[in-house]
Amino acid sequence: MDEKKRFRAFVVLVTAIVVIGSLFAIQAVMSEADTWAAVVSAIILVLIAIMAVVVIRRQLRDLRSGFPSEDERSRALKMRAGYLAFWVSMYFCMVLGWVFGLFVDEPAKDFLTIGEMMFVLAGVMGIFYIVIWTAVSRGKAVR
Amino acid sequence: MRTRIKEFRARYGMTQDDLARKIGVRRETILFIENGKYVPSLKLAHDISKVLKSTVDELFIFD
Repeated sequence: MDEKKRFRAFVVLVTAIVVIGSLFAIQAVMSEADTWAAVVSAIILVLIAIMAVVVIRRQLRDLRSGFPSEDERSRALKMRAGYLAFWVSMYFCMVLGWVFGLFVDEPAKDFLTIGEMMFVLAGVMGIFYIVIWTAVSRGKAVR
Repeated sequence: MRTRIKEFRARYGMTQDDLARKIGVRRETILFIENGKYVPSLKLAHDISKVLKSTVDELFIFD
């Protein structure tokens, strides 16, 4: 896939995510039953939109100046950050499970619905990825 | 790892942007390689040495 096609695919994907997320948030507000879900999804949407604007601006600048949006170092960084984020998220979920199991008497479903829990976990994984990517990209020798 | 890329670039009056464009990578990649913070693949090291009319041995010094 060439640079322009990849850029267009990225814009379409981000737009689809933001539109579907907005519909979910609007539906949650309209039903007036679940303000927590609406607030969480709105926060996630705003974060996705901010990230997308930053990435799209950078990719546009690269496209115009003739630099590739991705090269071997950026691919290595993504792989490293993804690998570390996967393990950190897994241990985080395990610790969370133990904490809930040992110290929280109420079942998690009374606190958050399964859908909301999935949202929160996806958000946490995303945050881990961004933080780890930032740390790895500033660090020494990726491989 | 130390490199002599900066020295060779200066010899040919090349900026980091020029070198990055010639070998098809991002400018940051050249910056990180020059500072010894990223060890390039053999292919990229070969491409850099070709553009700078040098050899991999001359450009990259492994302590």
